[in-house]
Amino acid sequence: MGDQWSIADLKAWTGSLLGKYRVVAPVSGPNGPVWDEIRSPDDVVWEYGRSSVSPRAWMIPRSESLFSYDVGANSPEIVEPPIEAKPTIMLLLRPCDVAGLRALDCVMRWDYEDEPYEARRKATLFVALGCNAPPSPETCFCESAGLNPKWTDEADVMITRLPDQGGARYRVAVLSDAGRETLAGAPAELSDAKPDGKPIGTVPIDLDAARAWMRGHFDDPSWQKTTEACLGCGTCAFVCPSCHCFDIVDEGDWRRGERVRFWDSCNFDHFTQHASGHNPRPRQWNRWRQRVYHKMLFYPDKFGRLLCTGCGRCVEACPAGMDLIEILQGSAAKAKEGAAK
Amino acid sequence: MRLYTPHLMRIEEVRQETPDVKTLKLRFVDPEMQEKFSFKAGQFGLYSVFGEGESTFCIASPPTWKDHIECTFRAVGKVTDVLRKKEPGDVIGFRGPYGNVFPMESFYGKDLLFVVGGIALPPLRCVIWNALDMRDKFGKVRIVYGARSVADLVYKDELKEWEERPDVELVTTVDPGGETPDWKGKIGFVPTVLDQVAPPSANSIAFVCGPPIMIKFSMPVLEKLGFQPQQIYTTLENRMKCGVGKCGRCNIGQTYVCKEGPVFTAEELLALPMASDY
Repeated sequence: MGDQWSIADLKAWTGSLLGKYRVVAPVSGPNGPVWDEIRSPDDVVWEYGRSSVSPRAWMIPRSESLFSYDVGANSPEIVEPPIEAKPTIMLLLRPCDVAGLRALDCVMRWDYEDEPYEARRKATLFVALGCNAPPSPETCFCESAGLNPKWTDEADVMITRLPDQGGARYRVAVLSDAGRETLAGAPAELSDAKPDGKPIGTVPIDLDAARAWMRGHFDDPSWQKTTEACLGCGTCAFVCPSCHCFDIVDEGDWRRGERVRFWDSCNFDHFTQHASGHNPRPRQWNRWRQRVYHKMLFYPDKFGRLLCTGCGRCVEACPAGMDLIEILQGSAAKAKEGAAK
Repeated sequence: MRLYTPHLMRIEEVRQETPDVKTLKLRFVDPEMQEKFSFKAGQFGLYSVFGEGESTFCIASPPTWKDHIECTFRAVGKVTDVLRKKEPGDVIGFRGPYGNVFPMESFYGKDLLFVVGGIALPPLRCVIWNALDMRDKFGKVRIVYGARSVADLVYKDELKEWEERPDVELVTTVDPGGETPDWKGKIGFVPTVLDQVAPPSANSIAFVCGPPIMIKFSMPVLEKLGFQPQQIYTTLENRMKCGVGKCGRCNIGQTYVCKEGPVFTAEELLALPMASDY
């Protein structure tokens, strides 16, 4: 049927990829869709909103062995594990998650080569699915973070859902040469047509105003008050698509073991604590403020892009009701109050 | 060899500097690596004790010493507590060198003033020996070094050597109450002693490193002596894990201490959001 794809077409295409690629897609989990490798197109939750945990683990695993050591013997030895980087397709990424995973590149690729990340990065293709409505109307704010929820140029293949006509209909656009290869045997035609640019109604935040206020108010006393509910549990970092901070830990004993990289969070109290006991971010609110400033100002100042995509997961997941949206809106309001004076 | 994989180094010698500070003399297990390894004054490394993890210390020996490197550390944490039990012959891991450097060439022809407290001498000892090993490139070398007590002074043999050298002006001091009956140095805090010594600022570079309180009170003295913020250098040691600008832990604002530091001028530090906490 021309350039309109049915679910059956998407499934047929996905099936054609399975021999050649590892396909990672939203699959059904205990608390909604989670990202996992699929064995059949029927594993995919084709109609999903937003996964509760981002797909970041497929670019930076929660834990990853860097090497194993055996230093007890006369000839001490360090063995690096093979880097697993199968050709992979991340299927049905929302544009906010594409942005989140691309934002990781800035820090992971700015100088030294992080070999395992680099290998995965080069082996992974992104197939995005646009949002025609906010999957979580109360927490999605990607449009305020400068994204177009219906389209991203940073994917390799872009899927757009069309108004239903007796069943779901999609348009598929190719955005890169690697993406084109995956579509060699496509069951229907491709299309360059972009969806209209009308907003989909995510939560409005005047982020420019919020950032402008933050820039001059790092030492503003209100930070303590607005962030004091934080428990320091790190859930926000765990669900985030762009949090990348990690810890490096030895597992084993003095003789044999391995050195492992784990996800970490700037909200944990030991994150910056020196061995002497001195901690440059001694209180929880110092740490929460760091998180907001890093995402909204420090990272963009350094690398030219926000470290937040407005996916809203952290707002939804926080057990203490810490609300990034509220804090950014509050900052924007203070900017306007300041301007009015 | 990948980014996070350490080189193996063998401990050649262990020196007890103070009751809780040790210096290790290290050589690469692989002789080829020892041959090709090079670094510059100010750079740091990540030293591993397998099974415990990595710690960040500066390279405390100067780049002019080619056949080994040294590190000096206080046993205060998980890794250093095990590192202090290591003996000659034991193997540890090393990654580096990382970070920026003291621009030694730009100091040629100038006087060098070192204002140092306690365990902060190791990073500047690297600069001091680097300068002394190319002595004719620099003007006067002045050192004001203080510690809480006589027992807390590190590199005692080298302090003696510097004291005896005619081309080094060394003033050592200990905090009031920290002196011993035979102590011949000064008694008083580093900023006060610095004020008394009053080294000239013209054509001079100052290196300040020590506990935060010492730095805080030394800065106004340097200012009074006429030192401009761009004439003053220091080196920071934030907590680090990767050392290569990725793990996100050493950041002060948008600055990665591990890559854009650890060496900063006072002018650069003033621009960072660290007035109180960051």
